[in-house]
Amino acid sequence: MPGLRGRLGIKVNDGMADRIVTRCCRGLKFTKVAPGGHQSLSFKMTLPRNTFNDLGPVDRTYVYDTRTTKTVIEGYLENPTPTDGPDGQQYDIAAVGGVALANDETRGLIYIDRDLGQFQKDLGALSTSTFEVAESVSFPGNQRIRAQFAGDTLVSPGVFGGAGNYEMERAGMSLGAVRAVVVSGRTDAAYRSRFQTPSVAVDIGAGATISTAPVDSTVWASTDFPSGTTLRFALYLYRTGAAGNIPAADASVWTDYVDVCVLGQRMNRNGTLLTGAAGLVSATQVLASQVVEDLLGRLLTFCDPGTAQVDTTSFAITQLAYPDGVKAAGVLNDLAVFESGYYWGIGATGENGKHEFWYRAWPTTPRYEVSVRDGWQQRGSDVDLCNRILVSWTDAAGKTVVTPVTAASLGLVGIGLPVDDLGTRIKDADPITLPAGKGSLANATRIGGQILTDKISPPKAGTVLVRRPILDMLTGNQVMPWEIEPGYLCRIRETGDELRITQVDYDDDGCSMLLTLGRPVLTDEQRLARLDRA
Amino acid sequence: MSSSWPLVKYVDAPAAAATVRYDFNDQNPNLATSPAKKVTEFDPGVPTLEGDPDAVGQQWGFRSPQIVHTIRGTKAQAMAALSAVSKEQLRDTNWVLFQPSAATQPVWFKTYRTGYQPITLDRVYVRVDGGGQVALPDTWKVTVPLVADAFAYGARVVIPTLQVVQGPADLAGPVRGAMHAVLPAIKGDAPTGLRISVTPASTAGSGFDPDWLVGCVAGKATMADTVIDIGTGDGFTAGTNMGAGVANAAYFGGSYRQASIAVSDLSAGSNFAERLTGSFPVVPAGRYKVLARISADAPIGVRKQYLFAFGNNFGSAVIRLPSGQLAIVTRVQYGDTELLDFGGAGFGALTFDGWVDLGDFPFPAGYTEVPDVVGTMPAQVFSLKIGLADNTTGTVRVDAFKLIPVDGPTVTSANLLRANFSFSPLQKLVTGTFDGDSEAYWSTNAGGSTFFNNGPSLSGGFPVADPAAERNLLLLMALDRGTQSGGSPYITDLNSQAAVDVSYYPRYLHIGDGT
Repeated sequence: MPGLRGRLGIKVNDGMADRIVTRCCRGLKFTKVAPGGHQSLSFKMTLPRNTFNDLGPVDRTYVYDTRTTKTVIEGYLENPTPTDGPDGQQYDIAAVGGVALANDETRGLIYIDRDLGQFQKDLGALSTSTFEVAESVSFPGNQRIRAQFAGDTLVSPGVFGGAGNYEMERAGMSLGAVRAVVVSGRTDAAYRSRFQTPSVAVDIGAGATISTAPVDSTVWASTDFPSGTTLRFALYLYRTGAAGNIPAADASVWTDYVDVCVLGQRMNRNGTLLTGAAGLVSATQVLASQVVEDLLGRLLTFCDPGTAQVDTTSFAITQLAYPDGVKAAGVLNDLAVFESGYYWGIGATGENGKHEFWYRAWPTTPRYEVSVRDGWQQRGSDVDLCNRILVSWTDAAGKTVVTPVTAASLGLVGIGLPVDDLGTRIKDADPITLPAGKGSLANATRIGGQILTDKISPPKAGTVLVRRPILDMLTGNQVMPWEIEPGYLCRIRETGDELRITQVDYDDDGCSMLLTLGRPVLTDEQRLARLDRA
Repeated sequence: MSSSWPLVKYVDAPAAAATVRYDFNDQNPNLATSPAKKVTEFDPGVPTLEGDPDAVGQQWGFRSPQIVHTIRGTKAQAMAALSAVSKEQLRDTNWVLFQPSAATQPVWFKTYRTGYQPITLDRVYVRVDGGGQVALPDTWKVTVPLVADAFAYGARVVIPTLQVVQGPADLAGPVRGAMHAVLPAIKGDAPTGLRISVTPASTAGSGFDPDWLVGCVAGKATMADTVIDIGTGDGFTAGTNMGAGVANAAYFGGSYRQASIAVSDLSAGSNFAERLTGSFPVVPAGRYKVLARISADAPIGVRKQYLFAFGNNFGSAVIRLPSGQLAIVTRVQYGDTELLDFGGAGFGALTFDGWVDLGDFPFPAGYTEVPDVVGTMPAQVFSLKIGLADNTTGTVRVDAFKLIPVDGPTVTSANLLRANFSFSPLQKLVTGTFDGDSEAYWSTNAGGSTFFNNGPSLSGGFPVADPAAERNLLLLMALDRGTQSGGSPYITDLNSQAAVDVSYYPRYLHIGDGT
């Protein structure tokens, strides 16, 4: 007999009208995930097959708690499957939640890029000038671009040598800032180090001269060059004095741009471009929360910026660029690798038709308390006895760098874990290589650390079935199974474990919610796949 | 045609005046055209309870009534009668009237086309002296299996017209309920969907397309849907830039409080600040939906996005922080942030008024009901935050809170439906009908003869009343005055009145077998 067992109602909107169809529905199932939010729902709807003639992906279905009118889950319909036959006429309805919208559009995004391979010799540069990328002698461990006028060269006023950068133009994102440590081979007021866009030129470094003293220089959108429209720029060495001949043996007419950071111009959650140091905050790093705010204003425009919750993160991301394009979900999943203590989600629409959005820290105290009486299963995993991992990545100059991450550096030695048995012996886990565009020392340390931690101390994971009201310690309510939300901690009463709820699967036939707790250990491939370009 | 008891008939509707489609107990027919028929056995069947008995949700399955009736006539007439029964069985849905005797009320089974068992035309045999059986001449027995809804329907019960007002307290002479009405005892055995027709008084409701909350909460007689007035003498504590009570006869209790929101009330770049705190009066412990009645400043041409959040204060406790340090922490658990977005159209200065749904909360905070322990709720400390999404300035007048019980020891079931009207009206001179049986809404002109286009966007569940409950509380709240200003007064104005007509089909589990 059609109808739902939980105190739930179902509505279908076919674009013309809303229709409550609860009494015609059965077999409701839905899934919510963290990260992700509303993922999917399905049910059978016993109605004449011509009740809805053109249900499709733009139409929606909603599941409500009939006690409060609160939306439990909401989805966009897949192409429905009207059936007619021995079982009568009915629809098999399947819908995807708001999380699917995060996979809609692909765009090039340059949040912060230290890849010097994006520079190329400027077409207008003096033909005898040179441009090369190599490791800085002045700042070991950092890569630099060197623009140089060779010896035995006549340099006239206005000539220049340097490199242009067109990656923002290719990505379709405006430039937010460029930062470099500028240092030259000599101090000479006949030359200047310049940053130039199609409309403005700014002397950087020592200003009206070049200097052997390094200067950390940053130019910002709006402050130094036009906001929102600057898509390409050049860094170059520029002759301002009278024409002069550089002696053949003189190899000092050069300027290095060290540790160049190219910052895309982020938006705030309302879609307004951020400008200047006040808006963009830093030209050498971005925070995951800043990236999320940009996604809200740029790609997740179907989410409600007014009520969106974005918790501030702290890890400084030093390399995050998608010149070939990426979807919002791809960026958000990448951020989970940098900030594993945070998760994102897209929920139901509000009265203004926009979806709820959250990017928030995993709580540290449990919200739900459940018993194992209805079913509990813990997933096992192997402990890999190793105390070091080597992480390979590509630096700004395109060279391969290997960064070791050790158990000792992670604080996992001497606390009673099996890894202590290795003593001074070094045993490496399988090495990994970071994908292109994500390589930096900080990223390598962060990701290598996560992999090694999982191998040494695997997280607990399991499933628990809930088919009765449980205590919601956050609100104080006794909540029904369908009210349980992922993205919070759950305490298993009998074992005392406090685990993250990463997925909930509701089955109305049993009026039960299956909670997936914790996270199984990711394989290296899974972790790297998250970081790979979408 | 003359029927005898019990009455067993296929009819076209669950009503006494319905057209008879086939009479199983027609014992005095026109023999020239139809044979005599008699119900010799009627088994109403019982529905099955689907789902584990202790599950939080269960469902009643179909029931399988069975009719055995005899036909007295030629075989050809019997075959014709069998054909007539088959026609009725082949309808998608049908109604079978059953009335055991004149002393009982009729009930109707809503039947469905189903997989058929063989229906045979059996001869009727009688024992004869000396042993053995002989077939009665021209007498045939037919067994008709049915599949029907779990509960039989009684005749529609129409409750005398009720009157409700959009005000804080019931009014007398005549009685007008304050956004609610208590339904008289519900007939039947099982919960039933209500048909609720709302007709705003002709002197109210000029606003176009106001939103409505319609619901029915079943529970104990002690269950309460409390209005908490805010304004002069409310005893609450003003928060950031919240004024004292201001007298104004248009507001509940004759006054309101006004929050004058500045750019950075909370901190640099944020004004989503705590505006009001205090203690709620004692209400029966349980889970309540909380709504706030407000007026907001929404100048035309300026987009205003007001944020609201209601919090339950759990009190202070010594806790161990993640750092390991002990600290005394006061915990206020806020619900979801609610957005009131005026786009750019605006309503003008402080001309919007309506209810903001702040979510549902347990009172007392953190309370878990235990079936065998009865207690009294302490005064519950609350907090109300108001701000703007873009941290600009704004003005909000806070008039009252409304608590709607949705769960807990005093509540058997709650079903609330929110109707968001956009192109379809429920305003003065319009009757809007919410029908729980068909899960449908329609609106007509006051005479009921002309339907209006379109329907509202509905969320939640259609109202259901429970005959087992001590009280069925009908809720009717106009949530806002609508999307356009079309004159005054509005349906949300103080004590705007609406007539409410409620009817339902009683649902019966046990009917008797007609013997």
